[in-house]
Amino acid sequence: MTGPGAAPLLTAEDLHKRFGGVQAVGGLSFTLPPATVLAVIGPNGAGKSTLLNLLSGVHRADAGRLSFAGTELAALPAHRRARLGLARTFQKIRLFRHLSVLENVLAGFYTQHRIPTWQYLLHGPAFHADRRRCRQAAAELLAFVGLLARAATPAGALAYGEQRLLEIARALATQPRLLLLDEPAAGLNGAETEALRVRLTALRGRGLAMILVEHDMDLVTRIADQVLVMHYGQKLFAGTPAAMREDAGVIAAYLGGELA
Amino acid sequence: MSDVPSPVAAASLPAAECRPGWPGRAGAAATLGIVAILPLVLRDSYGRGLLIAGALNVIQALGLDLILGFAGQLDLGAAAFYGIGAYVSTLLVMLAGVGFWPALALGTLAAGVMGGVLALLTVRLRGHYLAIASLGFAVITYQVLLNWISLTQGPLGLYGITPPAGFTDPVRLFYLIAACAVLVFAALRALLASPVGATLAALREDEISAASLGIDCRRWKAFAFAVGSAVAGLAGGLYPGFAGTLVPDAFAPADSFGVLAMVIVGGIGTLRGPVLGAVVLTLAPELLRGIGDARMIVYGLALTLVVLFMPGGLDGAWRMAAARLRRNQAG
Ligand SMILES: Nc1ncnc2c1ncn2[C@@H]1O[C@H](COP(=O)(O)OP(=O)(O)OP(=O)(O)O)[C@@H](O)[C@H]1O
Ligand SMILES: [Mg+2]
Repeated sequence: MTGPGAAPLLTAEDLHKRFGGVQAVGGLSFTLPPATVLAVIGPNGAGKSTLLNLLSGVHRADAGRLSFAGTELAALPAHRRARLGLARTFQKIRLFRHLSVLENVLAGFYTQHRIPTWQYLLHGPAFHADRRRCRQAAAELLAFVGLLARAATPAGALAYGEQRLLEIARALATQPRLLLLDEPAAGLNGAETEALRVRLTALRGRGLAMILVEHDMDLVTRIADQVLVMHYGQKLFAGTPAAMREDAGVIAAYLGGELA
Repeated sequence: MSDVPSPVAAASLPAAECRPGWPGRAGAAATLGIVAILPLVLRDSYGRGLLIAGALNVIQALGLDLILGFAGQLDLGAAAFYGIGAYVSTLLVMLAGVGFWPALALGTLAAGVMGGVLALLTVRLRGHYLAIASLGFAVITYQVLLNWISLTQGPLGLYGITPPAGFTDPVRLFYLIAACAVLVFAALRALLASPVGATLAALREDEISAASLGIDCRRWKAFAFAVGSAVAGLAGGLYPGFAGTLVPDAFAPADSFGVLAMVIVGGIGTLRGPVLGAVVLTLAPELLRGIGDARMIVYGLALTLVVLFMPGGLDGAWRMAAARLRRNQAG
């Protein structure tokens, strides 16, 4: 359904973002075809998280154009972008720590409630149907990430790896068309990373487009269709994982140490 | 979702979300019974005045807790919205000849609109800055009430205000105000059990995360401020008929801290907490009446002690005691 000729899901043109004296992103352009997993890699401070913040609307770009599924994003605040189908997780985990695991996921259904206004005060049949539907869907998402048994636990009390998975479940609750993941494997042990990989592979199998910022090269090569290598806020390389491993510039700047 | 190990039993989910201070049926029935009996026990006018003051405080504390506890917005302007409700409704009756009930509704609405506008004007402010801005709003409102003499009579105040027809008897007036408190409680309870509760909690916990889920934080801050301030305005509209007079000093900016103390002492972010806090802090200064200005000292002391030793307030302490009791009985 999505050949190489299909219209891109996301197009970024000449994005710029400066923080004080730091040019975090400096003239970055790329396109993301539908149902594609794009890995973004690069050394610390390369501007990967800034790129995700520009896409999700946490920061506004200083210059450049962004379009997502035919809609111009640049002027839209973060919550409007989420409504268009952009969901994300955070490098530094930002769960609702004092809410239960279940409540974290339920909050993700914000845009999907179908309740007549008066039933917010006098709970009627539509209210209860909506509640059942959301709880069922939340249960499925929690089962998907393996956290169903922890539903009543405060999110802040979960183990680190579980928190990363819960952030993914919460993002999925918004029914995204594009999922932005900022270092989902950071801080995970081998077993946890494997659990994550299985989930991401499943999502990929469903045709969910993803942009995956990740340092774990094994995860990247097993999941990604495309790789974007960033260096000092700019594009050093874009192509398939296989081509990246042959690229002299990438090897010199980034992979050299790891592959040697 | 095909690859999920199905069937997933939603029944295996916890029955309710984390909702501390959510009274059960038995607690609600007992409370209603006590409220019904109270004016029959306290028969002198002093006691009945205290009851009415307590009921008004319960309404105010509930309204503030929506903003402060549930939406997490540091609002120090509660006295202003109480005053707006009181003056708007009373002036509508006295100057425009509007009936009590529509005037009460309009006073409530006016306070709600002002709350929403204040929230939109201060939407970029958080924490301390929002606290100072809302306190500033309370100062301005107080000064307007003092100095707009052609409208409010300034410090001389408005006199001869009567309760609504049919409620001139203090017992009936108490039942009216208590019924309003119960309605406010029930409405907030229903609202917070709906997805609005999760939305406000998300706003309170992390605005960036909330926005990433599609939540317009500006809009929901304004919503919480508007509804919470409207509740304060409702209490304000019920107050003048009880007091008989209306002077700006009844809405001094420092009074916001009194309501704040009720919410914190009772248990912030719960529904039972502000009710408990309002009752206790209405009674406490009266018990220490001999010391005169001890009121603020008691507020200060209670606040300090609770913040230091009971972060969950009276409601949190109650729940902890109940849990310990259950454990002891089981073990
Ligand atoms: N909010 C901010 N304010 C100021 N400077 C920032 C901000 N966000 C990022 N930067 C700076 O921009 C540059 C790029 O940071 P960014 O977080 O995008 O890098 P990254 O590629 O995600 O790095 P890492 O792999 O360490 O996560 C860094 O020099 C960083 O210090
Ligand atoms: Mg980063």
